Amino acid sequence: MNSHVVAVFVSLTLAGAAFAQSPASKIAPQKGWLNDLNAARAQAQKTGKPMMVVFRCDP
Amino acid sequence: MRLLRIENIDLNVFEFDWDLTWATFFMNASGKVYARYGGRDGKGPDTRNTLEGLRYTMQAVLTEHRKDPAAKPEAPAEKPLYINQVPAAKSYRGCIHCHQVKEILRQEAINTGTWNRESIYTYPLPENLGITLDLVRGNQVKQVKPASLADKAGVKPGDVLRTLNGRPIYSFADAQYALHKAPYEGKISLAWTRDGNPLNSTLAVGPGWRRTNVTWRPSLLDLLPSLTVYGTDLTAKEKQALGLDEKRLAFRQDEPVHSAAKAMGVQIGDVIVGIDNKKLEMSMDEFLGYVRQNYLIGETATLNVLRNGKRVDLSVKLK
Repeated sequence: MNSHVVAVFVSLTLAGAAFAQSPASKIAPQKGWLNDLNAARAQAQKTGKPMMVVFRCDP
Repeated sequence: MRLLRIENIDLNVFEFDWDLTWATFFMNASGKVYARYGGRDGKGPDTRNTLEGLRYTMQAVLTEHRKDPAAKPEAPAEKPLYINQVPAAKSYRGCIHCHQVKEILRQEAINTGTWNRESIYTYPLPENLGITLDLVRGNQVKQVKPASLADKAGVKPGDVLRTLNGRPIYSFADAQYALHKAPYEGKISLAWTRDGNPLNSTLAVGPGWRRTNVTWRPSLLDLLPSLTVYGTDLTAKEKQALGLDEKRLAFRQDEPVHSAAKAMGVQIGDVIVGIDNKKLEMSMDEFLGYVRQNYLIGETATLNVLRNGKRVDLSVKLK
């Protein structure tokens, strides 16, 4: 993970029905990645780093 | 907490090609978007992305960010747009898929009478202006198509794009986004540097300039027709016997004829030579792709056929 940026991972599920059982929700948190945009903004504000926001549609 | 649903995303801030399965924004805490990375063409999802290219864009972003970490977005924030608040989204239940954002916005435009057929050609390629960008240095011009708009404007290989349609360019995705926001017809500004020296021009784009291969886009699956004819391409000798050029589209309908083709009037042995009187130089496979790229379900067309050596025109409603 590039330490010069705040990394945000936004996973957009392709699952149609049960949110809690969607493939996206099964993805284990990855070190260095945030999943909360507001928290990422706050961290970026505090650290002065830019954010890398990744959108991914889970297969 | 994890953000798993696109309903929670302000689409006016995170406006990207929702047909993609992967897209990246680089921005600061104030909401200024420095650059994007991602994007694709009809050849495949990875043809425009490389790790080296991502690194190049990230370096450019860091350089830009260091100039003013608290920089504000150039334009004032638009009213937030959440997809589940769009009236046309009411018929969608459960999680909304990425590409369904496009479907919902299209339906909303149809419902409100603002839909334009050209709007299916989203995120045009820089090649539409004649520019091929470098895979690694995403804002550097690799090739310029002779006689293209970019060529006429004086763009040369090796030049570095700075802005396109008034938006900063650091990557292929930036260029696609800039072109996505450009008018269906009119002018597109272009600024670039050559050996550090700034240059600029304005390109005049005409109707249809946005058109690219859209057949890979899941948001359009309900719009793109399948012409149910198939068969074997004629040999050069067979074409010559029918008075057709060697490269001209000409394939013989095989047996059995699909029921939908039968309903259009197609018969076994018909030689399909075109659509809407266009003299197309392509194979059968290319022709079927051509129809999907250039027509929509529900539109009518004329299928040009040779039957026993005589021209027959079949009026078809595409499905």
